Amino acid sequence: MSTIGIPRALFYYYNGDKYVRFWQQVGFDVIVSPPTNRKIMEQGLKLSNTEFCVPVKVLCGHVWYLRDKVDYIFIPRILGGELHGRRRYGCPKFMGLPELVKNTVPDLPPIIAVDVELDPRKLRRAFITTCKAMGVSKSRVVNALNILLEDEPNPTPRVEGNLILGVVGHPYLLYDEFLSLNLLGKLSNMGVTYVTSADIDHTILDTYIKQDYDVYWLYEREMIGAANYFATNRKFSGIIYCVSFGCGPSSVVSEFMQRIIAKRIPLLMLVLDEHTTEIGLLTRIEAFCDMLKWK
Amino acid sequence: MEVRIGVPHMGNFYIAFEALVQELGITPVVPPRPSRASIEFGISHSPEFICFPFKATLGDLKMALELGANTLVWFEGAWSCRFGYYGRLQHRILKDLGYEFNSLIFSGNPIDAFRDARKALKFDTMRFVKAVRIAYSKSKAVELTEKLALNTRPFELNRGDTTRVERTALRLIRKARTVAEVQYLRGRIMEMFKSIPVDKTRNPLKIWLVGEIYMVLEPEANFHIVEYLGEHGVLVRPFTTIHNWTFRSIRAGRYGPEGEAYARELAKPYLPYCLGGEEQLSIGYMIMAKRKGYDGVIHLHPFTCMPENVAYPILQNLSTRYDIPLLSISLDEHTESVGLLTRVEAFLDLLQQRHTNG
Repeated sequence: MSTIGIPRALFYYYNGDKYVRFWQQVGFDVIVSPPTNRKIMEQGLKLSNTEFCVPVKVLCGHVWYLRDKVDYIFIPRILGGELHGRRRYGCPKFMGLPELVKNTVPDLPPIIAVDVELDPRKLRRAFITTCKAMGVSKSRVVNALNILLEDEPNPTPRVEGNLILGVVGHPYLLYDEFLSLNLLGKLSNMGVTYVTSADIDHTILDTYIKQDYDVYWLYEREMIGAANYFATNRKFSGIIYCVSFGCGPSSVVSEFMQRIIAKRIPLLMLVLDEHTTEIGLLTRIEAFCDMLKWK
Repeated sequence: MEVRIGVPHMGNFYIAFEALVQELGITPVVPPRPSRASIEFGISHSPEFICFPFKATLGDLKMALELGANTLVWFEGAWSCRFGYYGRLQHRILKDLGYEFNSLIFSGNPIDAFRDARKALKFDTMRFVKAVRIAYSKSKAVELTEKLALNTRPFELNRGDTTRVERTALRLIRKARTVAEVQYLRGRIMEMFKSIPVDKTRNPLKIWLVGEIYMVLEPEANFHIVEYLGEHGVLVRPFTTIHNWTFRSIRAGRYGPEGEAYARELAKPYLPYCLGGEEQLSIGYMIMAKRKGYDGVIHLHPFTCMPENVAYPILQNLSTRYDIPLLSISLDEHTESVGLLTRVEAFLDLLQQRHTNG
């Protein structure tokens, strides 16, 4: 039986477990690369163009780790689709991700590049066509596709505490402990309660996205909705906004955050890259929390 | 209230824009070319890692406002590139700085944009058609001038002749009032270029210039690289012209053996989707450059440009596979002209050796 490798980076943090279950059900062995470590990171930095954002560099490292252990590597192409009356897109790097990886990491096994669209019909068709080319019967794929299409509601977390912060950022940055230098862990250690932008359900976020900043990038749109949610909800005393250096959509969204959201709630913007140090990060979070406590 | 529209620079775009707006009975406000001061202003008020064209055009808009513009216009929507949000962000930044103006942001769909513009600026359709005609003919004449200059410059006997003639020609086009006058000018411009003393026996290097459109077409952003290459005896071919960009909604430059449609077709095996910028064109024209026997390709892009960053590793691999030299330069406000030109010069030396040896 052939194996499929899924890098634990970028898209994995959106619905990675669904992809794992899907490929297992279709009848492949699945290997997910380990959480980012120094070796993976360094390999990624070495291989990739200096101008990529760090998460993309790290993805290249993960792919490099997987390359001699698997028969295929799964890298979806997030294309977006029609949502609330407008065409939405992934970031250009997400849209060209398979090509980007193919041309950056040498000696790769075949890459399974599936066009992931919001429209379930198109998504279904894309997966069926790809699997057909790999020699999988249609019936198996159709059964397994239900895993990808089911939409489990995300219960809004109830939080209690003295100091409650909203953490806004891409999940692939926040939940990658190595990349974010364990930002969330640091917050917990300091006794801060937090809710991340990924914790809030889509349906709730949609009501918080205003015309002014309804951007056409799928993920960033939700992030700014989450920021507005935190600013509106009186329980939260501040927002920590994490960006990776060189993130294109975030350079636009950060400006909306600073010019619109930050007028209503204290905002700490952290720009993370491969040179960020743990102490520097900690000092800034501590200073921010102290300020909020005095307020 | 009199409407005065300010416009940012991109190459010779202002000539067509000025003609269009004037014909509609609106006063155009053309700021001076981007300079150190205007770019500096753009940098200090822009988000930290947004692309360079944003910063430079923000500076232009501020200059235009100071010259008395009271309306700024932008078109939204450019696939998933940041370009689609330039207008909204820049207008917000300028308003936060205390400038007062009327901000008009039109949809990227040409028909919707026209309908909204007609309502906001109050002109009638017939007048608009007339305005487009004169803008089109002027922009076509500008394209002709640019092409003649590119083809004459490497052969000129006295360095600087072509550039001088080009400037005169552009000034004449800018002054022209009617379509007939522009038509007459076309002939005169051709005569002017023919009168430049040239040495046709030279065998110049041929370089295709690809990359992000602003960086390729705006001389102040790329340190006049086109003129520099030409004066060093290189036949340089930018992948598109300002005319094609201005009139892309009516498909200028899309078809033909060197058209954008064909370039995109060539790029499909390497990058199947358009990402919003010129990434597919960069790839397509690189392949075309090889097929047409060009000596090398120069790829210019702003630092952290998303689409061009995806194209970059692909271009590198193509360069090895097709054996065509590539110089990829990422430009931003920290780039110095000496650093850039040294790299270009070194690249030219390499090409020259290949050229003479094989």
